[in-house]
Amino acid sequence: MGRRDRRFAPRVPLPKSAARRRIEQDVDDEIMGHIELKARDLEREGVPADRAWAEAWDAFGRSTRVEAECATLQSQMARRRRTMMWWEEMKSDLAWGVRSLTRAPGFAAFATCTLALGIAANTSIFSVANGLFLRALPGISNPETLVEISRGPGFISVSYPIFEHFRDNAASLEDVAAFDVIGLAVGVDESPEVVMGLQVSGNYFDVLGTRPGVGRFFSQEEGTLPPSEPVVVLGHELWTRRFDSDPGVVGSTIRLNGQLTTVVGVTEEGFGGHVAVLQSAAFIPLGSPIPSAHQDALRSVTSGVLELIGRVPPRTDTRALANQLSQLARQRLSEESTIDANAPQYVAQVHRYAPLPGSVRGPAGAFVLILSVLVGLLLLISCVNVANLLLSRSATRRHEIAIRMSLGAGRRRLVRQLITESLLLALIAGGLGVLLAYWATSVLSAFQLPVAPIPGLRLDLHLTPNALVLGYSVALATTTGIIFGLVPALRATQGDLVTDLKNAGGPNTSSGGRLQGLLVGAQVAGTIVLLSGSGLFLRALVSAETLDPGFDTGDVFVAGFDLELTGRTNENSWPFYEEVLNRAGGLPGVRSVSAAGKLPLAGLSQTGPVNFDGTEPPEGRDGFVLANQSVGPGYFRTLGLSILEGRGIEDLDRADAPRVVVVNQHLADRFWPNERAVGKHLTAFASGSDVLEWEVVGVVETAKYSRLNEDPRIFAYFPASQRPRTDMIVHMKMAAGADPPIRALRAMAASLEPTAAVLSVGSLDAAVGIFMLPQRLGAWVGGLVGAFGLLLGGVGVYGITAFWVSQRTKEVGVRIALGAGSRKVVMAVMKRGMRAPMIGAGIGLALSMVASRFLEAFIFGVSPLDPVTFVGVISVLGATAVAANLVPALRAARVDPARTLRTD
Amino acid sequence: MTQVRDPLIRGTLNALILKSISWGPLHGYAIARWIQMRTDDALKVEEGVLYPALHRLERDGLLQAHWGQNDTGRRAKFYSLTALGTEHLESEVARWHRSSEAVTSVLESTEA
Repeated sequence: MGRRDRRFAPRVPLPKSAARRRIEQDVDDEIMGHIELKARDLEREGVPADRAWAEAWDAFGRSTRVEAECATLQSQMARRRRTMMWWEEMKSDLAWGVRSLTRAPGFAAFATCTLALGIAANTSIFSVANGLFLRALPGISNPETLVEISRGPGFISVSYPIFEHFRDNAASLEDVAAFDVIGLAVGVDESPEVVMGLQVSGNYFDVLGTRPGVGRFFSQEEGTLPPSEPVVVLGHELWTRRFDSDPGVVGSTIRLNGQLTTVVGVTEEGFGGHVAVLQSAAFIPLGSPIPSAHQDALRSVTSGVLELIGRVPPRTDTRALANQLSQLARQRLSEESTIDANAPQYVAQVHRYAPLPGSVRGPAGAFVLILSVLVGLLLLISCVNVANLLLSRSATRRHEIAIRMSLGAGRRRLVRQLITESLLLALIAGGLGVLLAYWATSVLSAFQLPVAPIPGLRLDLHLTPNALVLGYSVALATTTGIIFGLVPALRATQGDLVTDLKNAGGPNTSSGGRLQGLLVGAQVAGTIVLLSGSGLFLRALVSAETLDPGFDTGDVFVAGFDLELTGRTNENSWPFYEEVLNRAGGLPGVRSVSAAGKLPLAGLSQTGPVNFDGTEPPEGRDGFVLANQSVGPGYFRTLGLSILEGRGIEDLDRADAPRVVVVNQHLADRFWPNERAVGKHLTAFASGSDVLEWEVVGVVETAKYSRLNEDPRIFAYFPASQRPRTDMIVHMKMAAGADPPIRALRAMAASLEPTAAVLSVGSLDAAVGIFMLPQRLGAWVGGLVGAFGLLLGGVGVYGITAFWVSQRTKEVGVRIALGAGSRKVVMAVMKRGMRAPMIGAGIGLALSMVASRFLEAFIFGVSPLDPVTFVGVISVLGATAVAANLVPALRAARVDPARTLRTD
Repeated sequence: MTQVRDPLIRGTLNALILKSISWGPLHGYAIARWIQMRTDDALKVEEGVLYPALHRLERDGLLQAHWGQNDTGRRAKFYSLTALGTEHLESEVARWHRSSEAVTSVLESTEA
């Protein structure tokens, strides 16, 4: 037997289908006919009957083989015909769809725009989710076996000794690297550019599995303490931008924080650290002799300066690993007698690696989830809108469909045709939506903070759609097309042929009314949830804008410096700032000038233990925790904070003068009620066994310190001369309308300290605005979605209700013809027409009240059951529903009853 | 008697089948008989080859089939040409003429 025989022999005896059995029967019949005829002819030629038959049979020889081959050919043919028919039908359905859409351009345009908006909103939000959570960062191999190691609740960093202990002793860790964010002044000449970099352990690149693009990474000696010669690995982006991709840079020296540093390598293209959104521009070894305040902190066992990223074998149990690491940490910490090694802040935490920093992952995830729900609702409302439009079209199309059915078109075939039309619509809308989303996300991707809260921080957002997002959009559009197309298609083809043929485009009967009632209810419910959600976001924004932070940001300009970048330490930084403040006070237009360690609302620095005259420490603790900051002379004047008692921080509070502190009113009222706070003392910032005592010299009004909606909290201001720091922000209150003397300030700073760079400059309004960014962003997106929702929901509720009522105009006509007063009839129509919207509103309200609890974390200053929002939403939609009922009812009542009746 | 095993002849089997039904629909046995008679029994088409060839031609759209009755009154499948089949037959005939002329001219050539 040849090769062909095997190919056509049935391979596996599969159960045969009815179609296959019919094919085999036909082949059998054909062959039997042949045998009969041949045997007959042989007999006629004189061959005896039995031999004639045998010969005829034998001609087919292995007859099963021929039969099987023929049957296979036949089924192939059947399959080809089916495919061809499917294509033919598809082509004709598409042509029909295009024709019917171009015949109703108004409908097509409205439906496309509605759906395109919905799909664009969903694609954009999914792009954001993809950019923040799903997209892998370039250059990192096998991110699934990376873990992040921190301690205590809330991602606390660990110390260098603990990192070493983990690295050398943890059996389940293949390797672990440490890193810390650091500001780096990359100075080629006098104009250093400040970038955000990472200070990393030598094995950082190995743990991530990235390779150098040019040169090499750190050697064993360079990567371990104590520091060796200063070296740096440049990020590919910085190398391209600042050094024109010159490979000759490797091996040369550049100035880094004022120090000559050798460039040993450049990362591979795309690699900018393992943290999404915040791109690292350069990498230096831990404890590098490049000036940085972290050097001292690296020696402490209890400090929290390093974040760890570890490589584990596949399928490692993170909880077991955390237990093991906690034990190792306890072991190491108990070597120091003064430490309580069992304290909860030393318990190790292990998380799976994710590109987004741990502290923002949760809130960002929740935020994106809420937005997804909102835009999902928006799309659903769009779908209901279009479904309703299709339903009302199908009423007028019933005649056409009835004719087609009477001509023998099957129902399946017609449904397919109608679905093809809606899929066509959805895919066109999807294409438009994706274009819109491209535009929206590219605008978002370019977003930078107006004033960088961390020196050199640049946002690196990759939010534009990629293949995954495009797949999502296509799937979304297809699903959408089926959702809004299926019900109307089934409805359109289910009617009674005879009645439909008789009433060309007559009104719908009760079952259509019920379906549309359902749609009205669903539409109202969905719109209420959407609107109350986005309404709450908007209200939160309004309330945040009108909250009084307690300080006056108007006409205040800020300029940040960090002397760490020039090689100074905390101890010798203040003279620089003192001189800057002295000279800046004389610049034109400057009314008042001061400096502070932090911007208002930039988060809290807390210290403890702190003890106050006349108050015992809390039970079981050695003191209180106190939020505080260092400020220069004239700070309260510059920010418009009133001094209620005593005085503010002034020039006389020099470094060697008696230690003083200014407290806020809340602190004074809490610890010295009904007493003068001025003259009292508090102890804070113990250094070793020395307890430092500070005398209260003034009380200022209580302001907001970390959030606009925070409850009053205790707060203290220490003189920057006595609590100096390398990084401070100069605040300048300008005369109204005066331009900030930025150029003069830069020149002045450079004359005092040649490598000192002004890190960030801007109005305090803009700077404080950053801390409201989540609320603003939420309000903007929520408001935008809400506005579209209101538009679509309003149009939808009006359209559906009005259409539903107009279908009952015949009833109105009959009643009026029978003598009922038009007023009474309109009332009756209204009563019935408002039922579905009201039920929908009830359901929507209940759902919103449940859903708004999830918004609580994002809507500062507004109750999740905010009455203004809910009453507002209900009145807007209520008015829409009433209008939608009233207008067609009145129109029907005005029409001559005889005409209404005749149209039938 | 030549059996249609030879690939050269087998290639022409399709052309023979198409030709046999160019005057009207025939069933499989009649097609086999027609070819045998026309070639004066020189070509005998084996049933095991004929039927797969017929079905393949049908699958490829060169033939179409309908069911009728043969002269014994049994249900039989009649084949006829489609437009595509007619076209194919014409091009096959032309091709045959060209190649046979070429072969003939080579075989009958005298020493040059």
